[in-house]
Amino acid sequence: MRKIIFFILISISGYATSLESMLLESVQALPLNYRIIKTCGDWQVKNTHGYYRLVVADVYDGAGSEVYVQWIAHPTPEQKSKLIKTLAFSELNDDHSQYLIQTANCEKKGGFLYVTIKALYEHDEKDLVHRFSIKLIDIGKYELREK
Amino acid sequence: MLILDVLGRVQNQKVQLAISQNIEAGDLLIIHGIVVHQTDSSTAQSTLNGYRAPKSNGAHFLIDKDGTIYQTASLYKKTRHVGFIKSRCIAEKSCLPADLKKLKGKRPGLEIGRVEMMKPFPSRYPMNEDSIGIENVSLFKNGAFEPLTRAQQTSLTWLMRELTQTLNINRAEIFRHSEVSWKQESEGASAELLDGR
Repeated sequence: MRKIIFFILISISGYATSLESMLLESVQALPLNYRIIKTCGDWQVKNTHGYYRLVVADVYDGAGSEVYVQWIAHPTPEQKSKLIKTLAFSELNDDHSQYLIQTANCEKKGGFLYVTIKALYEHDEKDLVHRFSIKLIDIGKYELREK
Repeated sequence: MLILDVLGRVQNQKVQLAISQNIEAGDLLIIHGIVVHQTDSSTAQSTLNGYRAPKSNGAHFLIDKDGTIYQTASLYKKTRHVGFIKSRCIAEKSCLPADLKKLKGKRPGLEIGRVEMMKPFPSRYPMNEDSIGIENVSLFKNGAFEPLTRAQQTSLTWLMRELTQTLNINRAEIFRHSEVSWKQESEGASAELLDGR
């Protein structure tokens, strides 16, 4: 019985046996307007490997949004993890033609990364969901089309 | 007073016609106000080129840094230049209890904008449906739009005077873009409006 009470007390007090949640302060300090951050599979260019990171951030207190894709190189014995490229989409991030992004998803298919976006548009007279498909062709190169 | 032709084009030697139908979006049936914008471009030509692209957006006029005024859309057509409008009664501290009830809990942008657009003018700000837009060629640098040049301000003042007289627009209904919509605070901040603001 004493053992049971002891273990219950440990679990309630959050007793830890090792370092944990080292990034708590950094995560708490993340800007609140960074609404979506997700990884989307790996890429390889010559001998460099890495992963894609999709970022959606709100502007003007959420009146609009901006979307970016980053190429981040994996850490290796020779080099720490490194940001290779941040790609902005001028078609979607235009201050005078602003979209409010509702969902953003990404998927690696047939060697390419595809990002799909659902968004509302500031100049529509009625709520109309716009669907975009972005195909990432190479580092910094893409094709964007509205479905 | 400006002379307009049947297509809504200004007939005046101070205004160069560079109309792009790509930025026109339906008939502009009534005009209640004017909204002053800045482009984030270094030249008028780059903006005019952009207006020629399919599905592009723009305003009715574009003023170059040297003061040249281009008319880029018919005054009988709407352009998509404002976006979601802010609450005018909140800004002017004139909301009635019923206004506050409708706005309670609403988020900036779409939600407040949808409430506002249902209001009759002048309970709301002018929007795409009832306003003329004037763009000024300017770059956005170091977190702010560069100020209008002296030549731009001279042309802007002339154009605002002519438009308000010709279209019977109240001088107090001229706004900077950032006043009526959620935009960079510095957009239009350096522009001197007709009512002394």
